[in-house]
Amino acid sequence: MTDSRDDQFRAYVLASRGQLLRTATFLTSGDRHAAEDLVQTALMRLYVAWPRVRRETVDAYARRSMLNALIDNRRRPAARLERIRSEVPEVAIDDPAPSGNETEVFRALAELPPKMRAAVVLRYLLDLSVAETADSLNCSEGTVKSQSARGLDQLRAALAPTDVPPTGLQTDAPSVDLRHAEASVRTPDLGDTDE
Amino acid sequence: MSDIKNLFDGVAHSAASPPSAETVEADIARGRAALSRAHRQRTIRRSAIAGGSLLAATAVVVAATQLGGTSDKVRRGPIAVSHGPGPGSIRPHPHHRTSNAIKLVSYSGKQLEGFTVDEVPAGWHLSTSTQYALLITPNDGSLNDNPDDFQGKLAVLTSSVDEHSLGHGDDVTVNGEHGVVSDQGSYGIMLRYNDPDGFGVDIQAPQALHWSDQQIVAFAAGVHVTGDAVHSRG
Repeated sequence: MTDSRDDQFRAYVLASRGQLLRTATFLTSGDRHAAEDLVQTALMRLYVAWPRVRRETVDAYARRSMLNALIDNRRRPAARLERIRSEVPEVAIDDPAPSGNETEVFRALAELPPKMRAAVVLRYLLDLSVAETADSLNCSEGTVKSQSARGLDQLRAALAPTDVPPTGLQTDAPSVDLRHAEASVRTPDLGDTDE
Repeated sequence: MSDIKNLFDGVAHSAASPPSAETVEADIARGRAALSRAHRQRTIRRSAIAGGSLLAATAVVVAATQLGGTSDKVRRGPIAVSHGPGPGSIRPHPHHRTSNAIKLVSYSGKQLEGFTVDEVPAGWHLSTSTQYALLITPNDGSLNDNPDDFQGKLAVLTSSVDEHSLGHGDDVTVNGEHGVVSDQGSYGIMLRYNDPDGFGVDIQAPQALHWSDQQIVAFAAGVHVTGDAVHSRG
């Protein structure tokens, strides 16, 4: 221990909070407030466990805490109920308007089941290996392969341009043409899976 | 998959911007509050278990007496801990400035149940004790005598028999046995060590003492666990 818990933790938060929040934004399909809640919960758990967490695994710990919080919130809806307080307890977060691309991507992600979405985000946003993703999600590598492959398929289907855009879709958003990427769907590490 | 990856790479970059100092301090404040809750829950759990163990022990003694036998009260020899050279470096924690450290002075007052001490911090006294914890507080009366409230107090605890790890921190040596000093944030520091028989002791020194690893180990050198003390569980 070269520094106190607070000093070490402060340095970690300064360096990593932004990336955690970006990951959480993907995990919550663009819900910035839910993403902020996930990050705050994960960092709170990390602070408590700080002396026991090895420095080389701190990112993995924070990531797992975030995923657990995501799953916990879904399992226990009552825990999400807000509490009324007489004063504003938190600092308001910046909530910039999403770009057209963001809206489309997050809408597509929202259609995926949470665990499938998490597998896709960990694999293709964070570039985690299948093994690392399996460890984070506490599931088998085969499940990761299966979930991420299906997730890719569904994302491509959702994001492929259609001849007649649905009503309300932001037609001025940059188009995302994924039709020519079909050949890459079955990559070697995403081949036939056990699920 | 490169198409999806490229798509992801171009999205939500605003979320990844560095946090403000206010946001970071809020994260730390939430962490401290959670740590405080964890400590309180642990204390409550220990007290509840202690109460249950006391009832169970009483039942055993009563049963043994009624059967004409003798109660086999758990007695242990005193644990003499001494400060010796450790495998790791002994240095002050940055948050606990040793220049302000409260020095140890000899203690000749009344000893309490479970533990005896050779020294106490100057201006502090033995407040209360149980079979599981000895609490030492300042003489100025700023802290209560509640045996279940460890906040701000120098605490000597028997460790739980269910805890088999000393945790992570600075390695030190107490009477030839391995110990670990860990930073507890706003709570101060904790020394956890085992005696040669494996009887575990935890010492929590509050931040108000501004103690270094060396000073908490020096205090431990004067701590003796008597036959009244028993392990907690949980």
